Amino acid sequence: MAFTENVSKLMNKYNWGLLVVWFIIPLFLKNWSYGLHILIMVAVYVLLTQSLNVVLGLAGQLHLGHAANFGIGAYISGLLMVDAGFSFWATLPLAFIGAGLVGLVVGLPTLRGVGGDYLGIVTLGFGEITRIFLINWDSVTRGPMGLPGIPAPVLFGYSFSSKIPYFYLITIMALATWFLLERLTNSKTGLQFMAVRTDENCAQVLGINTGLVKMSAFGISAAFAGLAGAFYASYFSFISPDSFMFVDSLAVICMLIVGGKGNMVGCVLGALLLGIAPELFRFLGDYRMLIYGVLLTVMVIHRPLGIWGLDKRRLNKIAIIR
Amino acid sequence: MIMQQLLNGLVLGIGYALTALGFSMVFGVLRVINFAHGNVYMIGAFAGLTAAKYCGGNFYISIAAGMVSGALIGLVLERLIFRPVRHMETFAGLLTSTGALFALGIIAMLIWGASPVSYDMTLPDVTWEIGGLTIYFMQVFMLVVAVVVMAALWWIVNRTSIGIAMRAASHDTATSQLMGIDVNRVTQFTLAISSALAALAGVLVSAYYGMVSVHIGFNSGIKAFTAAVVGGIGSIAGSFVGGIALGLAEGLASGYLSSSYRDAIAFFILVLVLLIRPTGLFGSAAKQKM
Repeated sequence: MAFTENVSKLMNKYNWGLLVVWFIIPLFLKNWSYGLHILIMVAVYVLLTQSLNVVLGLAGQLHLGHAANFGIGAYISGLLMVDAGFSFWATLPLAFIGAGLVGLVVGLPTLRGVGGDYLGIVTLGFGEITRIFLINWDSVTRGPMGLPGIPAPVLFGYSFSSKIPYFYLITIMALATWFLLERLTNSKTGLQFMAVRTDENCAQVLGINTGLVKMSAFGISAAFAGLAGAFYASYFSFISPDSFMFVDSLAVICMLIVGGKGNMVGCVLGALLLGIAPELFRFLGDYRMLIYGVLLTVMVIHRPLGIWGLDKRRLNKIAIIR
Repeated sequence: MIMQQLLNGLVLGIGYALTALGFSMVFGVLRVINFAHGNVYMIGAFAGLTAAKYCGGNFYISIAAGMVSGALIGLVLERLIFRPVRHMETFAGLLTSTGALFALGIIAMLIWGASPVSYDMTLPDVTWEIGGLTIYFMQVFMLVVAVVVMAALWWIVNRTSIGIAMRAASHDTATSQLMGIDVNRVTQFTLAISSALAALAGVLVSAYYGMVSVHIGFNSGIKAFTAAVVGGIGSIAGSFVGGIALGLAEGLASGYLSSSYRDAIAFFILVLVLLIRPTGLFGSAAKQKM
C-alpha cells in the first residue's frame, strides 16, 4: 500500500526525530500528570504488544492469556519487594526469568501437537487458572484484596516520586525490548519462528525442532511481559488479580491485530492508538469494550495484517485458490 | 450427602452438555471455536426472561422465545463473523467470535443492565422424595429435555438430508460444494441450531438457579468448550458425556474441596485432557493434512 510505504519512508527519515519528540514530551505535560500517565501506559502496552508479537506474530501461535504473564511478573516483583525487601532493580531480572519459566511451561502443550484454536483455549485456561490462584492463594498473594504498598524504585539514592522518572524508565525498557526483539526477529531463531508460522510441516522437514521453537517463543514472550509486569507493580504500588484479566489479554491482542502482527512498528502503532483512544472515550465507561470487540472483528476480516501490515492480499488470494 | 452432590453435579452437567452440543456442532462443520457461544447462552436466558414478563411468567413460552432469539443471533453471527473468515488462517474465526463475545456482552448490558436479576418464572411446584433425596421438577425436566434434544440432534445429523450435507461439509468443504451442497446454507443451519441450543440451556439453567446476570456468558462458554473437548469435539454423544462428567466433577469438587476452586477445575481438566488425550473420550484422531 502506497500510503504505508510513504509513511514508512517518512518514519525511516525522521524516526530519530520522533524519538526526540517522545523524550521531550514530559516537559510539556508537567502540569498534566494524567496525560503523562496515559503515555506511560502506552509504553507499557508497547512492551506487552511487542512481547505478544513473538508468539502471535512471529511464531503464529495464538495466546489468549498474555495478561497472566504480565501478572506473574508483577506479583514476583511486588512480593519480593514487599515481603523480602528486594530492590526494584534486583526484582527486574527475577520477574523476567520467573515469568519466562512459567511461559515455557505454558508452551508445553505445543509439544503434544496442541495448536490453533485449541492452543488459544489452553492459554486462556492458563490465564484464568493464574487469576484463580492469585485470588485463592491468599497466604502468599493477599488474595482478592490485592498487594498494596509496593515501594518505588530507588536509583543512586533518588526515589522515584513523580511520574517523569517512571516515564523515562518505561521508555528505556520499551526501547531496549524493541531493540532486542528486533534483533531476535532477524536472528536464526526469529527465522525459525517465522518458518513455523508459515508452514509447520515444511519447517519440520527442514530440520527445525518445531516443538522447541514454539516453546521458546512462549518463554521469550512471557519473559518480556514479566518485565512489563515488574514495572507496572512498582508504578502503581498496588496490584490485584483484577488487573490481569482476560479483558486485558484481549486488549493487547487487539493492539497487535490493529497495528499489524509480525512487525514491530505495527505493535507500537497499535499500542499508541488503542492506548490513547479508550482514554478519549472514557465517558463511555465499560461500553468502551464494544470498541475493542468491533475493532477486533472488523480488522481480522478486512485487514488481517493490521494498519501497518504490508499489503499481501494478492498472496492471500493465491492461498485461497490453492 | 454424596447423592445430593451427585444430583447437583448432574443438573449442572446437563446445562454444560446442552451448551457443549452447540459448540461441538459448530466446530464440527466450520472448524472454528465459537467464542461468542457463551454470550448467546446469556442473551437467550435474558430473552426468555423478557418474554416471560409479557406472558405472565409462562416457562414454556420463555423457552420458545429464548430459542428463537438464539437462532436469530446465530444467523446474524454466521453472516457477520463466520462467513467472511472461512478462508482465512485457523484462528481468525476465534478472534472474530471473541470480538462478537464482547460486542454481545455490551449490547446485553445496555439492554438489561449490569446487575444480576432474579429469574421470575412460574415453575410447576412438584417434588419427589426418593431415599431421602429431594428431586425437583426442574431437575427431571432438564434431564428429559437434554435426552430429547440429543436424540433429535442425532436424528438430524444422521437421518436427514441437511444432516448429511452438514457431515459432508465438515468432511471436505470444497468437494461438498462441487457436489452441489450450499455450504452457506449448511453453516446457517448449524449456527441457528447451535445458538438455539445455547439459548435453551441459558433459559433452563437460569430458571433452575432463579438468577441471571450479563456476566455469566464467558464462564459458561468456557465450561461448554471444556465439556466438548473432554468428550471429543465434533461428537454429539461426546459433548453430552463430557458435559455430564464435568458437571459431576464440579459438583463433587464444590462439595469436598473449596468451592472457590470450582471454576479452576474445568481448566485443569481441560489442560489435562489436551495433554493426555487431545481427541477427547469419543473423538477420533484428527488427520493432519499435509
